[in-house]
Amino acid sequence: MMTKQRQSECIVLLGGAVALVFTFALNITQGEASINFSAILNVFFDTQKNLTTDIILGFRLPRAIMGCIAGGALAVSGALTQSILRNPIVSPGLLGIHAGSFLFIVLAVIFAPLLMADHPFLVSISGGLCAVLLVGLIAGGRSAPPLRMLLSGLLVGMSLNGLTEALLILHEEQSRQIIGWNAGSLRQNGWDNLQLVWPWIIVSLLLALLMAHQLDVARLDSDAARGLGQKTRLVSGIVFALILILSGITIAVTGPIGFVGLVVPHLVKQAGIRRHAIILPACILWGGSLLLAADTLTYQLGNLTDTPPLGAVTAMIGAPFLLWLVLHQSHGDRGVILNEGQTSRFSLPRITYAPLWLITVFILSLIILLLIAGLAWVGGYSLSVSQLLQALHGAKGSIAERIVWNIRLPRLCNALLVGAGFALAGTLFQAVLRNPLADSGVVGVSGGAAAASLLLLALVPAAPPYAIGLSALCGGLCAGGAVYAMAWHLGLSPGRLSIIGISVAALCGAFTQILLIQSRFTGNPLIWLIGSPYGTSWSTTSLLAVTLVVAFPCVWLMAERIGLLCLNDQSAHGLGLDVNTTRLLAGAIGITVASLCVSCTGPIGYVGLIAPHMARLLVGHLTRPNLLLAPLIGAALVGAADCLARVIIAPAELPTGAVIAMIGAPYLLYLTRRSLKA
Amino acid sequence: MTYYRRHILGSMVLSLLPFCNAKAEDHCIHDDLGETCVDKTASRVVALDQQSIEFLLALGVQPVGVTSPTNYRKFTGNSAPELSYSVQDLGLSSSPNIELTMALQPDLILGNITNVQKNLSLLKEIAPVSAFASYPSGHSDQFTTMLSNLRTIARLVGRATEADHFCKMLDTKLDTGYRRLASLGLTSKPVVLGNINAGARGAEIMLFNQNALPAQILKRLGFSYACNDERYREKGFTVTSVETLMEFENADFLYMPFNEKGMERLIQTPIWRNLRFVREKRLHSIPYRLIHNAPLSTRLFQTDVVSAFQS
Repeated sequence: MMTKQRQSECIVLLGGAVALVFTFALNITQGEASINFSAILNVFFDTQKNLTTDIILGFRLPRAIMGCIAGGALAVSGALTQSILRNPIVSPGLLGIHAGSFLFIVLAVIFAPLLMADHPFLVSISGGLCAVLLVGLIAGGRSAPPLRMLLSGLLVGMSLNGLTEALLILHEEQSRQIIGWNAGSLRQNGWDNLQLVWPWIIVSLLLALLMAHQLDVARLDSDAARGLGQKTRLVSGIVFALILILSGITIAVTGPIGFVGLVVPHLVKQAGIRRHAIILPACILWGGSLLLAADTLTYQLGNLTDTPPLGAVTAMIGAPFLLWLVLHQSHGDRGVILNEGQTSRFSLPRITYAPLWLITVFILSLIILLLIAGLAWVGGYSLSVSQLLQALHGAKGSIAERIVWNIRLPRLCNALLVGAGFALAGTLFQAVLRNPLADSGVVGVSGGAAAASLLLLALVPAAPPYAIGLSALCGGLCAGGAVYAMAWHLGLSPGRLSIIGISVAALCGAFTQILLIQSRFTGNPLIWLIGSPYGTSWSTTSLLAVTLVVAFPCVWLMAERIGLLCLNDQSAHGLGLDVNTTRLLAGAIGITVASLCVSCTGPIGYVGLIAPHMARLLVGHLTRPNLLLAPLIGAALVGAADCLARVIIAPAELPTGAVIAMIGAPYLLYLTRRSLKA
Repeated sequence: MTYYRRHILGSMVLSLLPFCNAKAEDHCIHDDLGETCVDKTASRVVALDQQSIEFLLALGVQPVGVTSPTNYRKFTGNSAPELSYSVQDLGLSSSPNIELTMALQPDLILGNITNVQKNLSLLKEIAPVSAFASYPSGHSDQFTTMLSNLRTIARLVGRATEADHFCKMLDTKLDTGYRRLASLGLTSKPVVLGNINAGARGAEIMLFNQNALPAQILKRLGFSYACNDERYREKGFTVTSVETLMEFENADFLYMPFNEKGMERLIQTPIWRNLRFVREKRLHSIPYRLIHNAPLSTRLFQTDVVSAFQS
């Protein structure tokens, strides 16, 4: 037994070394100028200097070395994250580090260009740190169940990206240049970056290797670790610092490259390696080879304009891997991944015991106030009250009348309806996934819709808006449908659904990233990625109204069965519920409503998340009142956000989705703090 | 709701109108949205992107409303003819403020396809919309496309003479430039033009292809343009790294620094220092301009080129 273990350790390490040398050599042959292999060999054996020498020594060699270092650092930080969180499905990228770094870099480029020029690493690492802290806070600390950690990572990523996109839309000219940063790539401009980075990474890697034994112990549960004499706090502190340094510095140099930290440690462990003293070096070797291989692949498609970003390529490899992991893992491991049962619900006390009718009336009057304020004051053109009244009576042909009837009223109605729709879908998803952090983003709807709209725009740049809406609808339905189809075989358990949804969302994200980079110089692709009822008319209103009028009664009729979904499967079965059918139906309605909403306005995140929470705070866990209140609250939220979006930087407008993200993130933090205290 | 019904009826009647063919031919043009007609010569025009502002100013028309006027002034230097400071700011190009646009009561809205795409139906309710694709299919030479766009817009705003005048002025300038450069013995000299940007990880070079507008200007000034690749014809450029410049060592390199950092990063690389045109000092710096589909910037670009070679 012992010898067999040693044998596989040797094979993994030796194989890794061979793969690394091979991919390293292959990587050097690739680039924008075509240089054949013999010319490259000449560089190393000839003393004569020429341009080829410069290209190889000044560009490609540092690039390949950076590939080794970055790949190794990412893979090791992934392995460390998994061990210290005792969570097999996390990697730093999935914990929001990328999104945090990118937000900080965009902020720095726009508002503090000097800081960015002098201390790019500092900016990027502090962004990553903030994101990780947020994720930890929302998930409820280090001991949070794996799935919950992953979902809060997704959530923080979503909201930070929302802010970033809003900033980029506001700074059109700079954005074309900054978007390039978000396309991970190994490209180097000489040896400078490498010289800056390698001491940090090498020292951190060595430290990690020294910690190998402590990590073996830390992978057990914390009581056992303490029993074996480990200073658990100290160890986890050091390991977290190492994770941040390794992934933060790598991201600062290469841009976001996800999934290496997930895939490589898993493959290594799959090969039967158990000791960290071997896992970590194997991760360095195989991480480097994987990254170099992926990078070599990108050059096959052309130069900078056509090359897909490296981060997207690794996501295209990594997301299916995550899927495979969930679909084909042995039963024991799956249990570890999906064990989210006990603490998946925010246990929040109601904040009020006011009767339902009073709350409803209160929210309805808020909406009416919003309507009046929106009609009278929001928008570029100022109307007096008498003008508004005249316009409402239909003083034909006047500008006031056209503004009120053709612009303000349909837009407000659309904002309200779309808010209600997203909130309804969110309520359904949270019940189906039995998780308070679920949203239409989690089942892949928003990602699928975004990818499909950008794809249509890439193929037909002048496509009319209804065609783009239609393709968003198809994208949302396809992605949601795919998630369900894949989860169906495994019995539609909430955990599986969520992870499959996250993988599909990541895949769509990679696709979006590729399209975004390609069209950054020639179009305005960002405006299709972040939702707003801007530019929508009465035809949208009728579509949304029909959607809600059909969907709401269906949900209302199913209310009791949906309520039972929140219990665990056995209890629900015991109460006579056909769990799978209910889950399928509720999910299908949710996906359809969310896709239709996305197709009308583009993805508006957070509403589907917050509105159901607020409803629960107000009326507790009763299903019917929740189903009534959540859409009303959603409507009020999006309506208010849209009004704010038009006022804050008038005459220009912010995307509504970004305003919601700004309201939503702090609210979620508040909620988490409350639930931790409770 | 009665309003809604009226509205639908109205649009149905409107959609029948083209069959009546009652409008004067003069006021209809073909652009990348199809056919656009104005009732009378448009005088109150809204411009939703930088290029449209330049077209209007080149024709001697002050727009009544524009998007991001500050950006226009910043990126073009606002050289004569100037954009008036009293112009209404309509917000961002990607999401112009519809209400303010409506309140201006324009009789024509100009933009490019990507900017008007999302809100075309709303804009069309306000005034006829004319828009051009930034990179039309057919891969034509972008200078000719720009001139034909200029003439098309001129017909809508009744400034055909001004368009002729502008084209003639440009011709004369190109002609003078050609002769001046010829006197320096630069005719048929191979050149290549790139736009230098700092990039996220090392300098990026936006290399123009032969059919791009600035490359066409260089050709008309008598140079022979060195970069002509079928793959780049669609957009007229490719974004690449300094490695690619190896292919163009024999040409003179003209560069437009988009930012200082970009040049800094380019100069850092040993490849750059050893490129033949750098060693032999066949390098010419030209101030950065957004020339694509922009008549005023085109005019300034050709002046810049001539003076770069004269000094």
